[in-house]
Amino acid sequence: MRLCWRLSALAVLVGYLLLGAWSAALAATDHTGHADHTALPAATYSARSIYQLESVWTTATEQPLRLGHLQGKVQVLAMVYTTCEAACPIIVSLMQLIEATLPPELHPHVGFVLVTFDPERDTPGVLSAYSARMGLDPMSWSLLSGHPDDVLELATLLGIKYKRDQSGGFIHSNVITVLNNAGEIVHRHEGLQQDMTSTLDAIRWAVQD
Amino acid sequence: MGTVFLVALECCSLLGIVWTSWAVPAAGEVPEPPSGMRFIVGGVYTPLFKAEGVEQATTVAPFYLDIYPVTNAQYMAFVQANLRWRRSQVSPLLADAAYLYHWQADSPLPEVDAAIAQRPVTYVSWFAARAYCRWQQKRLPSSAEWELVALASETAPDGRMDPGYQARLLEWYTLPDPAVPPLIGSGQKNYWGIYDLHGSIWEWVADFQAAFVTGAARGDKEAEGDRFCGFGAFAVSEQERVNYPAFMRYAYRSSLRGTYTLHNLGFRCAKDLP
Amino acid sequence: MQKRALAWDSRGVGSVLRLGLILLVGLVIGEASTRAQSTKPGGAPAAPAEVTGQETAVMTDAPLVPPPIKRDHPTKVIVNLEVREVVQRLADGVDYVFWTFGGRVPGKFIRVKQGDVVEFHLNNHPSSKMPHNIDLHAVTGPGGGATSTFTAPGHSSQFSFTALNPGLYVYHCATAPVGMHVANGMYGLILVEPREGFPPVDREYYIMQSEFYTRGRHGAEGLQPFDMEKAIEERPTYVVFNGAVNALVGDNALKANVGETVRLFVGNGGPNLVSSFHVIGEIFDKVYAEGGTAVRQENVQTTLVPAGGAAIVEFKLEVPGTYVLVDHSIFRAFNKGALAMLKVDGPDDKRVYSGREVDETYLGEQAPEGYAAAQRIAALGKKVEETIKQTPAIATMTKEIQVEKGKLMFMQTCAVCHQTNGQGLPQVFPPLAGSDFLMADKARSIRIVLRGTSGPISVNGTTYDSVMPPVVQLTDEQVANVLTYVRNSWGNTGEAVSADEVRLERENHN
Repeated sequence: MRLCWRLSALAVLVGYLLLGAWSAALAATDHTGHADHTALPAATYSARSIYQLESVWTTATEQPLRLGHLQGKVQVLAMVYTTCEAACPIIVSLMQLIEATLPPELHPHVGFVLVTFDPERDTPGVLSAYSARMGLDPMSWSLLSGHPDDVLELATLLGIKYKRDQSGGFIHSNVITVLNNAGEIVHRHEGLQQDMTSTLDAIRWAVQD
Repeated sequence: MGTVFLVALECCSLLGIVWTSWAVPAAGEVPEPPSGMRFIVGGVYTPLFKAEGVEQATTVAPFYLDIYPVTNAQYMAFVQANLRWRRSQVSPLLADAAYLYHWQADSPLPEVDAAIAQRPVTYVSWFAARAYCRWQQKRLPSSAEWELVALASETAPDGRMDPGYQARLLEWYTLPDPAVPPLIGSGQKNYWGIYDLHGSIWEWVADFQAAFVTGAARGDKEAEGDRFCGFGAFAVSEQERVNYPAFMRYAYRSSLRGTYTLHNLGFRCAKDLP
Repeated sequence: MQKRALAWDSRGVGSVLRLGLILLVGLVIGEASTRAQSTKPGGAPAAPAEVTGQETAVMTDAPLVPPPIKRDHPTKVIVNLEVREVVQRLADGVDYVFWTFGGRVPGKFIRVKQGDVVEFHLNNHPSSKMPHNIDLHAVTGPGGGATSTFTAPGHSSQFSFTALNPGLYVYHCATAPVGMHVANGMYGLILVEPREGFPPVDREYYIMQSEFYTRGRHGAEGLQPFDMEKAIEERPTYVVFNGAVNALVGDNALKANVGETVRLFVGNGGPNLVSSFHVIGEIFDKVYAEGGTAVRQENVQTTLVPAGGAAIVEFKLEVPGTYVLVDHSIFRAFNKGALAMLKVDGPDDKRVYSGREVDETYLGEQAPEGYAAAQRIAALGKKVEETIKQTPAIATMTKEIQVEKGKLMFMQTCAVCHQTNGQGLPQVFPPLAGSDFLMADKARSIRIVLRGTSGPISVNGTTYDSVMPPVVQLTDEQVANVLTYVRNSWGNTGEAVSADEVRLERENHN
């Protein structure tokens, strides 16, 4: 009798250990980092989330990325191109201004995304150099390039108009979009004004949700 | 004798070369277009607007274009094969609340179906149109492609100099819309063998959102200066009297967003050459 | 009990009186201060009142106008304006596809007050073919609202503005091609009342002039399409008030009564023509020119209403009848439809307007009386001429005048050769002073001036053989004057030469 109990207790103990190891293993693979290849099916995203797009993008470190991997953080997103001399540098500085103005405790919960209009010229290498030049922290900033069809789809979804001009650059609308944790558009900052009050408010609200 | 033969051969082959470069590519030159499409030889299309730094003329490479707009029957097949594009299921990010309004249900009722099956499908968004074309291994035409083909009258590739034709086109814009679009093929067949580009419905194009008219035609030059990068020198020329229909299509497109579904807006697909 | 009763002793009365005095003084001070505030010179209050409350705008179809605004503070006004493309009557038997604000042409009349914050909703009906927007001339801001209201069919746009300036303003669609949208009927009026409002009148009406350009001629029946060529060349087929021919005629005429003061809010949607607005039989007592808030002129017959502009006119009706409103570019009124009516009822006043008093024949010049008078005048005229000729004094004066005039002419024309002292140039040009050749034959001297001469002549014993060209640029009168001068200068004395004599010489040899 006693032996039975001991054996069963041992079995249970081993079982627990195995279970713990298995869930730990699961936990180890279940990370929402940029490099994850697997994606959740579209149906898991809310009806208003832009993460339901199935397009695959490439990061500045040449990793494939589906937009859904940005889920979980509030994302501040803009579409630019690196050879733009007019408005794009202003858009990026406005985003940097947002980053600097946010209180430190919010920083882990907010990410910044730049998507290029010009995947032909803005290869991952170019984006990487651009990121370094602009002093963008790779831990919070994602720079993405993708297929031109996907760029068009994303821009249309975000209400951004763009067109190639003769010099190989682009004419485009200037919009900074704020997405909540679930990828739903909660705010749009149009134009290049410096007054970020409503955008910052939107970000704070989105983080608290 | 051999020399004569060789010379004859060379002459013949020379003739052969000359012959084919004269003719519009004959059947043997270009692969047979997919069924329901026509080959468009392409050309140079000058867009309506004049701007510094924007290409004045776009070269349109040869492509295939659907002869008719996509019908309700064809779209029905697409929805049945792609359930997330059903009326009740569609994502609000990809189509607005009036998506497939005229079907009144996920599948049109039989009596509705009979009436609309062979009419262009409307109440579809840009995302929906794109998805349909992709499902067919096709794509939406670009505005340059669409406008190039639409330049043609019944008898000439460029109908702009035909005032009678232009006046008839303009008339469509001044008449009220019928309750349902006309049956496909009931409109005019143009020089390229394409039907219903005019007088039927407005049609989606891949780059509709490149139309920058904000609505205040006089203000487009400066007022929206900081909303659009590189916008400063933009001007839409109303002096293009000969192409008012194109101008109005341009204005119409610029009022749209990708999710919009409208009673008089449908589409047709295009395809690249292999 | 006794304590309770009011003690009407001196102390009680005193305190009551004191209290009353204090109250009275307080009232007087209060009254004076309120009075001072309301009669502050300049009229406008020291600071604009706060925007409080909210209401939905009352809008009307022409020719009616929403009632004057009674509130004395600015508020938030919600305007919902629907754009609809409709087929309606343009003239008898003629239909047109109108693009409208609110279902009719002209669009709804919007009435707000200076300082109001207007929340504007533009709703484009799903049945529309085209996108539309709105530019309100009352808006201070980009495009007058047009950039914020570009709306596809089946969609709605919203924007807000503060009505900073009072006045009567046009609104219209500004979607490219703008001319076409306006030409199809997309215009209306928005009135921003000044803070103190307009002085009250008995009737207010809304009239808007505009043109239509159709493929068919004026009156061609059926659904007429818009004609872009005619619009560009500014050749309208129809010029109308309130969107159709005879929209304000017959049963639809405006109405008023004798003794009433009528105010017309007049707009001009264009797209092209300026209006010369006139009410036949009335005079505008006051004109707020161009829709502004100051009475710029009084007692005006015809006032200009610019395309895309407005005017406010007021007049008091003194006598009954039908008053016809026109664009006084008169072919527009009678051949294109720019005609409306105001029917006024009430008692006559013959002193102001008597109507026809006398009707009789008038023969003009055929009347013997008139003819005789003309004959008498002619006879008198002849007599005057003869008297002048026969009176030596007058004749002398006439000669002196000729000499003076002739001198001027001589210096300009003849002195070049014959010199200012008439001496000529030896061996080249003969002298005129003391010239026997000149004075011997008056007729010959006239002929020489008219036709010139060549060949040898003998003057004062010297032979001259030169050429004198004909003096072709002088009239008969001028020739006569020059010769009269020459014949009466430098020692010469002779008769005057008359223009008739010159004319005879000219005719004789032609």
